[in-house]
Amino acid sequence: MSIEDRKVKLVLGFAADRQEVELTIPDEEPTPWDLESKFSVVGGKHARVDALAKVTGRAKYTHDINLPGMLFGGFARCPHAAAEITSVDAAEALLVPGVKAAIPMTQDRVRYAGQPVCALAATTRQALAAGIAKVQAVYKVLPHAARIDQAMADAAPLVHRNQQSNLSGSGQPRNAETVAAELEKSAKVVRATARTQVQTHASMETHSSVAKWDGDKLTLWTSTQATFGVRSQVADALRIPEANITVICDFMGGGFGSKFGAGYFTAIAARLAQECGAPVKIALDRREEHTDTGNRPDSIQEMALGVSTDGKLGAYSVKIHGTPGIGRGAGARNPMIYDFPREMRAVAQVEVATNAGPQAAMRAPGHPQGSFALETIMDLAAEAIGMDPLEFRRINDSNPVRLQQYSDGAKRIGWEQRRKNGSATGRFRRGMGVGSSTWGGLGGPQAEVDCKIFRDGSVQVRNGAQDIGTGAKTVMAVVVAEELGLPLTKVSAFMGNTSDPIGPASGGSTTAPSIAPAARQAAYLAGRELKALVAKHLGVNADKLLMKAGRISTAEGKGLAFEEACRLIQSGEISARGKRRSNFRTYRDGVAGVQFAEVEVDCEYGLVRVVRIVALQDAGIIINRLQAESQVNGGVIQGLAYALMEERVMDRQRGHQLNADFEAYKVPGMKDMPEIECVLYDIANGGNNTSVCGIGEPTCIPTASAIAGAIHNAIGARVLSLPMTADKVLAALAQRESGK
Amino acid sequence: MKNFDWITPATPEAAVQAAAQAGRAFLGGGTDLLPLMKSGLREPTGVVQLKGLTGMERLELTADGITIGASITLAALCTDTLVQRSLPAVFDAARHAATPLVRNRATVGGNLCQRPRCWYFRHPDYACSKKGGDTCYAIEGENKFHAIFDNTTCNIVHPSNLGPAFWAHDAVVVVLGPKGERRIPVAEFWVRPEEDMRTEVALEPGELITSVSCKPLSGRSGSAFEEVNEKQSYDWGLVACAARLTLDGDKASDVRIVIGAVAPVPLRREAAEAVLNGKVPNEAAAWAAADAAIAGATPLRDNAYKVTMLRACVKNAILTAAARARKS
Repeated sequence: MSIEDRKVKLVLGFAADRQEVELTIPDEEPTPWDLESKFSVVGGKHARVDALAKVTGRAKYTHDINLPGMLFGGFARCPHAAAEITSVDAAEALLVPGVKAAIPMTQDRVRYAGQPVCALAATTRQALAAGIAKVQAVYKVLPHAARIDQAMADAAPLVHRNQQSNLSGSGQPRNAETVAAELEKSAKVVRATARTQVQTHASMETHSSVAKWDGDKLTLWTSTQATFGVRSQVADALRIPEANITVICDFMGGGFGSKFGAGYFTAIAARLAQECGAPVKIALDRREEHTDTGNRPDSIQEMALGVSTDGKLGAYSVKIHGTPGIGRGAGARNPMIYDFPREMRAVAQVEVATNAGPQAAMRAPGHPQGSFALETIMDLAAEAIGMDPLEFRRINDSNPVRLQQYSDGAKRIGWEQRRKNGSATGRFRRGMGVGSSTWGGLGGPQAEVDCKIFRDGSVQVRNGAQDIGTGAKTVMAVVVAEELGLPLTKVSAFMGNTSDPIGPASGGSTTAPSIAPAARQAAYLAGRELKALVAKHLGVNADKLLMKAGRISTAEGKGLAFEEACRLIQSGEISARGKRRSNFRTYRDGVAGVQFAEVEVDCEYGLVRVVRIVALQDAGIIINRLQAESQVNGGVIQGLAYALMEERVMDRQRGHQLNADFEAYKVPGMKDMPEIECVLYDIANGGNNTSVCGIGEPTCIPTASAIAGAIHNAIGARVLSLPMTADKVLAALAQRESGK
Repeated sequence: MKNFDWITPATPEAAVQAAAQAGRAFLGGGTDLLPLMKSGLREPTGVVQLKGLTGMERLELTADGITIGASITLAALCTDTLVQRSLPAVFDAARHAATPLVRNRATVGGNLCQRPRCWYFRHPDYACSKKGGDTCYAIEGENKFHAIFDNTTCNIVHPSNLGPAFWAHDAVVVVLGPKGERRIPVAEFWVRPEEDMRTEVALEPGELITSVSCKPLSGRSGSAFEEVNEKQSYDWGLVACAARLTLDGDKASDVRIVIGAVAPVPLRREAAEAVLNGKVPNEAAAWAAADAAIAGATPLRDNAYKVTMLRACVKNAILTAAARARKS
């Protein structure tokens, strides 16, 4: 403990589970917010600071960037799912009027339909399209395995030349024998195979970059969830200093995990711009977006679960197959929740290479697919032992937050009115289901934030990471306003330019919990400087001054209005930088969520209408209630789409995605929306000075599971495969009928 | 998209004259033509826009029945009280289509002439039989949304939802061409893949639909259009049915049953009509007619569910039409 450090006592947790902790914190760190903190701005419902710019179209996204003399870049793509490239010749393309440059993308083999083989830049979009049509590529077409069933078949064509099989994985999991033996001994064993589909990110704004050179300095406007990541990757790719690159992402039209990397197109845009001596924009179209920018892997999960007669979880074995396309990393997280005895789980993960675009992290990677399978086996086990599925979860879940959520959610959805599985009759049958989630989202270094207080009383907060649409910019502004005792309107927030202090990639729901503490510290340090000026001016002790309601004053009221105080600033501005520290002790190591669904199944058509979702979510202390609810709504909507509609369809014959559009790739619209009831828990989780945790990802995890449970309850049959479309519901109904 | 001439005639005759030049296309609302052009499936050298042409935006009761100008938008159709009262199936079909945004643009003529949504047809990298190739990829491929009737040659389903509704109201399609006006009974308006693979409608080159005339309900009669979609906002039909009947006492007569989204063209189901004619149109009779309507279905690997769904859809269309007839 250095001389400057101090001890503080905090109350973590929530009303039903308070934990007192004592911490030693350094001088430059404000006392962390906890359960006892009283707020005036934090926790309110605030419209996002850039709401007006967004709804009026003043907000400029990468697609909107048009520079004088700018060229349009794009790609000639392979029309075969697997082929050897004999030659790629752009000579004729370069003769097309307006085509300025071509860069063949050297490779000798194409492994998915739509893989780029040559990049071009042209003065207009028409010239670009004409040029692309003139690229002469000669292929030797090879047999493909574009679908997981094709890739797993005997004697399947090999996706990767240097491998013996399309399958690679963990092999025999540890505990396999113990688990097999335990299953033999279990009072009840439930078996099921659950399948989930490939889902694409389907961001409204497609991947796009604009590259502009000034001498050896490069400016990149790009739609990204990692401005600093793009900077270092492009520096690497072009072998130029990071110091010469500025990456700008003022506004973001969705990423969901597909925009971590610079992408091949960003470096290509920069190379084309260099070659042509003009700025170049590359903006992918919808087909390219679906086929070549990532996706959530599918899964086939074969499960066996042992349960005791009193409903306790026993041995559990899972074998998971999933395809990352030609990429890596297709694991489903199963189990990731509930109290499974540690030595009695055997989980095998097998990746299946397919001739399809590589997967990319997608909102809670691995979790929605794992959740669908796990909650399926949970429901089937509860049914097998004649126990209410909610009760079954309660007795197998020791997380205190979720236990609270189970009982709050049951009241809100009206669980006591839930009928026995399959007891409803008639054309329209209602049912209820439940699913749970866990997520980290604690955040951490590296994140730095500048806070400036100007002589006119205005305040600025800046970070160079991006606001991917979740409202991170507004979170910074709220935290700074709270710390300085100001209304939100007094604080201007800036994000999305790498000239500003470093920030995180938006992944793992870590942006807010990484930058909010740095923002608070920056405001704390800047405010302390201002207090010192006031203290000197009024002849009081700076430690006695509070910043509240637009004033800096003692408890007795001696002080100045914030604006008056700012006029004491001599140098034009006070500037302080806050740095995100490593996490201190937390209440829990992640956040907890539960969702309940009520559905109505039209048994004549097999259509599922989701009537209501009750989403109960913990995200630490809630900074902006409006945006937090918006995150929950967004997660539920994407989860509902995963449950009922979205699915990448690959043609078994030629290996193309057949629905690389927004017509046959189905995303729900207004009429498909349920009533979404959002219940947020202000949990003082600790870990950082704001107690903020992420909320972006966990909210999409259990929606499909809860809907699946509700369908099961309504029709008395389980749909084991996502999306749960009418054809599958009708098949489940028919199977139930024939089994009677 | 390639550059094209933009032609704005003032009369249907001038439009037909402009379109006489090869390579030109008519543009109603553009909700189908533009996507076709963007994906390179159509590359017209000139686009003849049909907005504001004399007589093509009328909607009125005439000696022919209710005459609907071909440039009438779906939005206008589904907010019109005459249509709601006299052509309920047409009203339902227009209201059910697409989204408010699309309905504000899409026209009656365009709805009848739109090209199929088959994902092999729409994919630029598949030269399917409809595009001059020699394979229907849907037969062995991904055929969840394809035809369950008349599907040995080409497996498209006709995408028009007004088509079956017009047929249920015995419509006549009025077309103008280089050789003058023709009146085509809607039953003869559709072209099967076996007749001509390159089109779905009986229009000669350069011919333009100017209006559609429908028989309004009279006496104690009712009609209805029912469509099933996976998605309730903006989705194409999985199955559809238009039904019309007149009550003679409590018995159904003059029954029309037309099914859509299940074959390369809309299909009138006369066998099903015969089952219902002379019967009280109750649930049992409606199911019996529906059984007749699905007879002969030849589903593919992934679309047998459509048969089950169609059966219920026909039943529901009949029951709605009957309920309306009783109320009339």
